[in-house]
Amino acid sequence: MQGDEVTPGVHLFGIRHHGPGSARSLLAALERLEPDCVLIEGPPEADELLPMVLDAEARPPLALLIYAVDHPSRATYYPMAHFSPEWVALRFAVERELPVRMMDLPQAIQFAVPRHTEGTAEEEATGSEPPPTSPDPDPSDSADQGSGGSDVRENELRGDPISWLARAAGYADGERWWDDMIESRRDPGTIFPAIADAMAVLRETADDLAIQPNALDAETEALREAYMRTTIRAALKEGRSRIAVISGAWHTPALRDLSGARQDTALLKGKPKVKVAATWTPWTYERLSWESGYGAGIISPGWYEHLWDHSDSATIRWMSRAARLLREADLDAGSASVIEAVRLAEALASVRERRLPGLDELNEAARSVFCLGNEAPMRLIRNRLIIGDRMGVVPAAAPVVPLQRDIQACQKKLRLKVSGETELLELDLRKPLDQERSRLLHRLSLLQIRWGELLRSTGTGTFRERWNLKWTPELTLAVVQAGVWGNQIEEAARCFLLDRVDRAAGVLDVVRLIDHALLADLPGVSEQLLTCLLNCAALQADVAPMLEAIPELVRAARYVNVRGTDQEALLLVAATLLTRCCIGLPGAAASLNTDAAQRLLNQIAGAHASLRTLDHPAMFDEWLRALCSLADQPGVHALLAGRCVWFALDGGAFQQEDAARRLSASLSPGVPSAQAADWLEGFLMGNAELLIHADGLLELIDEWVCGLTPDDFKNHLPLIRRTFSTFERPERRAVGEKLAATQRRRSRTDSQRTDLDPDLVALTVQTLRTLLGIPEIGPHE
Amino acid sequence: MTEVLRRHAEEQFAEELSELGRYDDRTRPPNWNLSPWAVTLYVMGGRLPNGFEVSAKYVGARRIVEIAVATLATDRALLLLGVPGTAKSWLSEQLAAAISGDSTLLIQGTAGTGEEQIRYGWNYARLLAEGPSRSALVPTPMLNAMANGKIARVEELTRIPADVQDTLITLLSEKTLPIPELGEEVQAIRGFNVIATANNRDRGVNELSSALKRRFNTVVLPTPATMDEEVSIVTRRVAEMGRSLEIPAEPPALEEIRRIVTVFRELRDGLTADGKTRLKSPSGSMSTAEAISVVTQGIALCAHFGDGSLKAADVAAGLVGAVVKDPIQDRVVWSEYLETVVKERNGWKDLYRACKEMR
Repeated sequence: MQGDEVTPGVHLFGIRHHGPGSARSLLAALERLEPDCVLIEGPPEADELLPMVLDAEARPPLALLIYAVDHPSRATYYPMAHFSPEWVALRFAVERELPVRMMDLPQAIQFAVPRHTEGTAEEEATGSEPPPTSPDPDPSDSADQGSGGSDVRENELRGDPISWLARAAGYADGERWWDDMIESRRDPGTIFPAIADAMAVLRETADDLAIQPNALDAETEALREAYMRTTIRAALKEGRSRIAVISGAWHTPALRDLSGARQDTALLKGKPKVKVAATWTPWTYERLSWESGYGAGIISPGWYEHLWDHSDSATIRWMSRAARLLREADLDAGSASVIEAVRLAEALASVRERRLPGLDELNEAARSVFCLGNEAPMRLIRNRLIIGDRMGVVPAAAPVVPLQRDIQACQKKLRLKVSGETELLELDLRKPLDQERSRLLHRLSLLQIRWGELLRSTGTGTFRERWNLKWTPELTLAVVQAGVWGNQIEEAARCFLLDRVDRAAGVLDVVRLIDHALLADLPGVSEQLLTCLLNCAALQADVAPMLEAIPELVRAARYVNVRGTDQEALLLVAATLLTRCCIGLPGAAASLNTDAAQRLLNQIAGAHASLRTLDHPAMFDEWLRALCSLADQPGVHALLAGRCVWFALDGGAFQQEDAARRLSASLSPGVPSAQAADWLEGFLMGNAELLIHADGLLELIDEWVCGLTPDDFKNHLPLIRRTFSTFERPERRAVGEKLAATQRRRSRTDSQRTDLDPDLVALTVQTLRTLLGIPEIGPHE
Repeated sequence: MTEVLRRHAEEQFAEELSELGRYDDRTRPPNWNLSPWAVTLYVMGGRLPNGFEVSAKYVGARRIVEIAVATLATDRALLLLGVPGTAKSWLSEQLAAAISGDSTLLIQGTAGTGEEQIRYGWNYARLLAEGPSRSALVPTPMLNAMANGKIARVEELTRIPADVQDTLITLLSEKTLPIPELGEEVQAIRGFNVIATANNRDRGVNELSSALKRRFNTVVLPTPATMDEEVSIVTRRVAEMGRSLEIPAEPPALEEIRRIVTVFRELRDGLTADGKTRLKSPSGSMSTAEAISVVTQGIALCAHFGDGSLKAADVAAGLVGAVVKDPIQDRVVWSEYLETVVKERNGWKDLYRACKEMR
């Protein structure tokens, strides 16, 4: 196996980034070539970090991080897994103590190029730049991935041209095609020259098809290749005679011809530079994959790792791993199924006229055999096997990550002492300095850097916060890990939060995240949070979490210092949640036992209180309508029904007569007395005023109490007492007095009432008057 | 020849099968009429090198047909799962026709299916007259398929009682059927396989035992992947049904069909067509077949009681009936959908009002 040697002494190896097949071929080729110098497409600024690949602590996936010292959000990552050809080549060279150099255009120059399309201005203005990984296009193909404006096809083609060759050959996956190509060939020696030839054709075709990067990208591209050629020339000049050049396959044709040194020098001359720093940072497989929005990523890092570790029996081992995984999750997957799955995958490959089953065939076979056509277990396989959950470990000797630097700068600026002792910090949020301190602490705890512990507020008002601060050595590690999310605290916190939003499980989860976002003052994320909240709400079958979410949202909308649009959006979401609640309430309130009814009642009460203070008539009306219908719905727990009547009365949806009618109906003799007592409890809960001032209600209750049989009375006495004990003492007295007055009036009318015949009485009175000599006066009272 | 209502696939597409057979030079598994490649081509449709056009029998992902064919080639049995109206039986018939040239070896699964319909039965007159003998034995389609190396089809596997399903277990793993009365056995010859279909909505009817499941490779037939695909299926079927039912109405406007299909797809997927809003899904299957019947019902309504052109009010009744299968849960789903999606959508006011009136 050999490289593409057009210029004598220079062996070009066009590889597929993160391709285990490329890596294996490359390793074999390097062992045969025994180079005296290795050049790799990568940032030259990282040259002195390269020996760390042999560090005992270093565990890939790792990324070389290059960032502008003055502006750490401008950064580029060159991620590598242990199956990446670059990593393999690095280890090969460092183990043999060969001179190894990175040959990509220095990021110092790339950063100095003004940014395209969206521009720096906006980014600095809002301070918000969403992509979690590389603010700059990807590294390993940095300029290839280019700006948002250019054609996707162009990016795909240039980012992973070998996949396109594979697709042309009918393979879904570039790796299987590579394996097939190499393993099925008698003489694999010419693979690298063949790749270079193919790329030359592909590049010409791309020109013909006008798949062109935009002008700025084309320029960077030309610069990068010029720089690569210059680096190769320098190595030749040093007298190296077996130079291994490892670059993305796309670039190889451009590196064949090393004449034209003058043009290259002219091109590179006088380019502005910025100051940059480099370090290793831990990476994860998840971030290697497409889904994390990382341009030149690979869909299936876990699968590639598998191909690298077990190239000879990939299919069988893959299926047994899948079976093991499913068994761990308590799903049936016996050895017989493994055999069948392997057979199906192979049959499927042969139906598709491929020599080896690829990931597609394996997935389809696993779905058919293990999962009975069901998607859910496949998701497990997807997350755990295909993507994988490996996270890299950085050697201790690696320089600090920019996030750490940013945190230190903030700590200094905000005059916060970092110490190993626990210290109490009291913050008054009305002071700007304290406000910023609180924001820093909230952001750090969001990032799982638990430096400060927020203590429960002591009731001195919402503008005070008390924190316990303690810095432990593990926190440094947490900082390094959080560095994955970004180079500045705010950016990192935002990316972390957005990632959490994607994983949020329910309405309450999301509402809590909104709370975090507000506390940590991350305004840029509200839109994603709210969209996610709406989606969760749509799927939420249970009304309770939505009811609980409403007060939180309303509180956020009312009190928090957010921009007007945010507030409107929050209210809109609250209104949608409310509509769903109102539709769901009748179902949720049916057939509850007392405990469940009590829980729902508390949630309804919370929502009612917040909506009442909100001053949003449309929402409040909708809410009241729902409560009114709940009040009359048969089968609703009496406690709830009673409370709903009170809420409706309180909100103005019921007149007093409406409430009185329902009270009388609920306390009427046909109703079991236990139920009536519950109703009464719900209705009266802390509302003495009503009894004191409204006519008729107290009488109704009084009549009901008096009508109870002695046994029932004994049974309900505690309940009635409990209800009335929620009243204040003066209120109880007032109620008592009113009852006493009624009693007196009643006894008076009782004593006045007689069965006398008015005519006879008149006669008698007449007689008595005459006898006593009393003159006729007006009618009595 | 008598005029049958519906011809078997191998008769209806005899010409295509023989053309394919002529041009198919790839390896055929033993006793297969066509190679796996040609079977896939027959089902998915395409053009032969000589320009002969093979019609598409199945509208959907090629992947699915490939898995099905590959499964049959491995001598594992194939289980086609899907909600009603996803062309399970149709696909199984086409596969059997293409592979064995015979789609008639069919066992119709019902709650009354007994073991003798799967293994073998007896001609009792002969049994009494001659005692147990090969001529008194009544072979089942399964037995015939085994003896001749063909594909047997079992329809509605999950409706067959569990104890009867169990007869399939050893049959599928040992590929042999002992006849103890005669002291003989029938051994399947190569090319024998089983395609079963089942409805995954009522899995609960007679849940497959895990031992039986293990003998099948399962392929789930999905509902149509794109809006346009589904609209065209509905339009075509509605037109066909309208002709055969002789309903005196003008063909429905494409817009109305599109709207109904949108409702079905959105509720089925739990997501609005623009992908922005999540929805709850009702308990019913919301299959294409139901969308078709909503439209036909609407047409019948407007033809006999309306002005002959399909209006929102004509489909509302059918729509509510199709969605609300469970009076409590589905009612919530439907109300939410009406209030949060239909109400807000431009040009859907009439549908919203019509559906509100139905409540």
